[in-house]
Amino acid sequence: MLRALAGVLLLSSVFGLPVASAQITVAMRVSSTDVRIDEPFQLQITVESESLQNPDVTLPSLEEFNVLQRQVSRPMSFSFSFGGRQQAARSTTNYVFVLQPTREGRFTLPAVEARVGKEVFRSNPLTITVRGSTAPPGSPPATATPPADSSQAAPPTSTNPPSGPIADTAEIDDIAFIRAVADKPSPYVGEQVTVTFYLYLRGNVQAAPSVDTQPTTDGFWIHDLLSPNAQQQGHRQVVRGLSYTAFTLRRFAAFPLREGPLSIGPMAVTIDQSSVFDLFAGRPPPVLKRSGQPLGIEAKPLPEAARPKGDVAVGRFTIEAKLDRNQAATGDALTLSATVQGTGNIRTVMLATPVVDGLRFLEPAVRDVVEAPGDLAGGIRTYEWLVVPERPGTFTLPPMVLPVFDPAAGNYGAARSEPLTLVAAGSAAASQATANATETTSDTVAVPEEAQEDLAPVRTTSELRRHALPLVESLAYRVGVGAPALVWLLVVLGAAGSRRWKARRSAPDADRSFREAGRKLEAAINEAAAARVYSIVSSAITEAVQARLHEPIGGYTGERLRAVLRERGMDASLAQDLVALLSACEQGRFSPVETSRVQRDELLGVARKCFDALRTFSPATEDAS
Amino acid sequence: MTRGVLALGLATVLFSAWASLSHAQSLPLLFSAGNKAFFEGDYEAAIESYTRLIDAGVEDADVYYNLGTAQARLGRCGAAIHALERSLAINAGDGAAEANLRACQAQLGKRRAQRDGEATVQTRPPWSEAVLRSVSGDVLAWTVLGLNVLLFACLLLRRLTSRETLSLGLSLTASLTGLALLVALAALGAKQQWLQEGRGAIVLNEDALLREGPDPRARTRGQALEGERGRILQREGGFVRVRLARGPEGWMSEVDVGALSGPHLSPVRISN
Repeated sequence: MLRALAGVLLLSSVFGLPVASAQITVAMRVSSTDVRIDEPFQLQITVESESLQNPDVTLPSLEEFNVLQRQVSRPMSFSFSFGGRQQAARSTTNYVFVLQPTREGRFTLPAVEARVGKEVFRSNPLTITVRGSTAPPGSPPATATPPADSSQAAPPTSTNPPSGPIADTAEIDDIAFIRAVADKPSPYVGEQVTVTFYLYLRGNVQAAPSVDTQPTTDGFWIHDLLSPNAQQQGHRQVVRGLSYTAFTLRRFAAFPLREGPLSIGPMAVTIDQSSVFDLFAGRPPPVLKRSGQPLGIEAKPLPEAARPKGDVAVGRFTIEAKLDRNQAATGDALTLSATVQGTGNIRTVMLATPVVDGLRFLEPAVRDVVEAPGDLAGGIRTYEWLVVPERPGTFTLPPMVLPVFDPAAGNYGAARSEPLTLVAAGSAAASQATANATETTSDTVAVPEEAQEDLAPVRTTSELRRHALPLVESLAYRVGVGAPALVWLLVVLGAAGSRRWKARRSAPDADRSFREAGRKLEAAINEAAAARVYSIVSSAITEAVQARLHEPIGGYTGERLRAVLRERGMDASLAQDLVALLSACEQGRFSPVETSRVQRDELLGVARKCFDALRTFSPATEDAS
Repeated sequence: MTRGVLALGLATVLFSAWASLSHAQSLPLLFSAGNKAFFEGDYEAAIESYTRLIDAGVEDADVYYNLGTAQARLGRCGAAIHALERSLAINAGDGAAEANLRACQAQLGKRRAQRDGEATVQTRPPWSEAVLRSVSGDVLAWTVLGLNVLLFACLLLRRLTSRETLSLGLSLTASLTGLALLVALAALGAKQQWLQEGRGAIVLNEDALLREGPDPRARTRGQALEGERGRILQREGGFVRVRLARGPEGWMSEVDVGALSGPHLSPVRISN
């Protein structure tokens, strides 16, 4: 048993098998969430596992769709790091479905579940909207088509080359060829077309291919979607019975700037296929040069029907406008910002400068932030105008309107901001008022203009609070400040009182015991037996001391009793006398020699003296001691 | 008879309620009217509206701020400084009020320099006020209250606990809290001016006369400068005894002085 366990541990340490827990990533995505009846689309489910153990995957029900194609691939990769004792095995399972909707509606694909042992990992759910089969005018063509050669189709992820006929976009070569793919062959002017260049290669590649010629993009505005430093991962794809590894060379969003036939030029690369054996073979390293085919794109004009006047932005945009403050003195500049945000060619979005009587707008500053999340180019364009009120008054800045054409919906709309209000304080009128005052009252001093301009504007809103007593002067505050001290004082006094009350409650018993002890002492005179006298005196004195100290002393030695009496504040001589008296009594009680009458009287005399002293003795409390 | 008394009582109650409601509604209208007049450049009318609000018992930082700004627009720097200081007393640390106050003081200095060839304007309050200017009295009061509760809680817990380390910790906390409480109390005292005689004040008009007695015929001791700080020590008839920050003391007409706290000495309206 121990040997088996040791073996498992050894194997685990050598191969890095995840014995404790597995990290699973489950993702589900579709080529489009908004499709029409009969329009095929692709659903891809990816399960990535950092374990050699294959997870148990539960796929969603697809009964609402016709499954035109189903493909499962399980590429597996290992990575070893020799320096850091790190080994990793990663397995990926790709499920690719080409689906065709059969009826209208919104269909939710539930999350995919991957189970490893007791752990369950889930993907995101997806909702797909299926519309009627009648496509709106100018609607874009379907972006996914069932591949002609379905057995050769590769998983169509964002980095993978798409399935479908290749011959029309590439000149197929048995060793290597370049393929250019556009996701839309005939977009609207201004609509995004995603263009990707793939390199299909058989055999080894020693270094990244060097690009000899970049594609020409005349007639397009381009935004690169792939970082030049992005690491390329090859994907296997079978073309005409030959297995190639496909790499993505470049991907960009192209926005047609004019209508009509446009062309994206071919891309040319050089591929280094050298190896160390070339040194021994005495031959030059093999180099492949390949060039692609130009890609034709037919840009359609925007529909004329219901087209608004002026420039139209193509995409989906929203506008937000704001003023940095809504009050200003006349002549003061303030800033009006308008932010256009959305998907589309943000750099071509134009906002007209507002025109408001009494307000002067200076030339705007324009800033762009272009982003492409999910390969969909868009971003933020910010316009900033300096606005100078030329006269006092309340101004309303009308909403900013941006005519928009949504290529996905195929219709026109408008992005609109909220209207804004600006209040300008009037120094011009003030000057007039001051001038009038100067004319009528000789004492009035003219107001310097620069001083007026330094003044911040008045406030247009107020809670109009009534006079309220300052907090520090309110009765509740004073009570609040005094209460903690009062509580503390009450606790301290209460504790002292409680102690005193307890002491007083035990006082009558002590007094009674003390009196009883006195009576015993007086009765000892009449006793004839000496031992009996000593016993009575010892008992009486002990009881008297106990009554005074409120604690038993029977177990104390002479030294300890003296110390206790001293601690409780007794005079040293009295404490000494008491200890000596009790000691003498103890000796007398058990002495075989009979004591004389004189000795007994002396003893009783000392006992009375001590008793009288005890009568006036008031011990210190234990706490105080 | 009884019915008549009841009806009269009901009518009185209803009238009071109506009057109160209409009064409450009229305050925002007054404020809006003041702002409208201000934006139209009619600062006198704006001041009139703001003043009516204050006379009606409104003690709001925004109203004082607007009043001060309107006064400043008319070049009445003393009255503007007074209103803005009152605004800051309610809403400590208000940047706009501070800015307008500085603008008024600068305006006053320029004007005085143009007239006299040179001018010194006291732009800063006494150091204790300056240090605590951005902290409101209520914040300090809450601080004192909190520290006070903490101190006595520590003392109580220390008395109740029997654990030596806890007791030591509580003693230390109580000592530090006591120290902080003393500092906070001193700050609150300085803010509330407990140790200072009289109320803070601002001279509203330029060259206001400082007299030896509360009488217009009393001999003149000197002149106070517009915007100058002082303290009101006594009030008699239409005069107040004022000690100016630079030292001189004397009687001034109530209309020349604005109190920085408590009730106003005279209507806020200033007539030059």
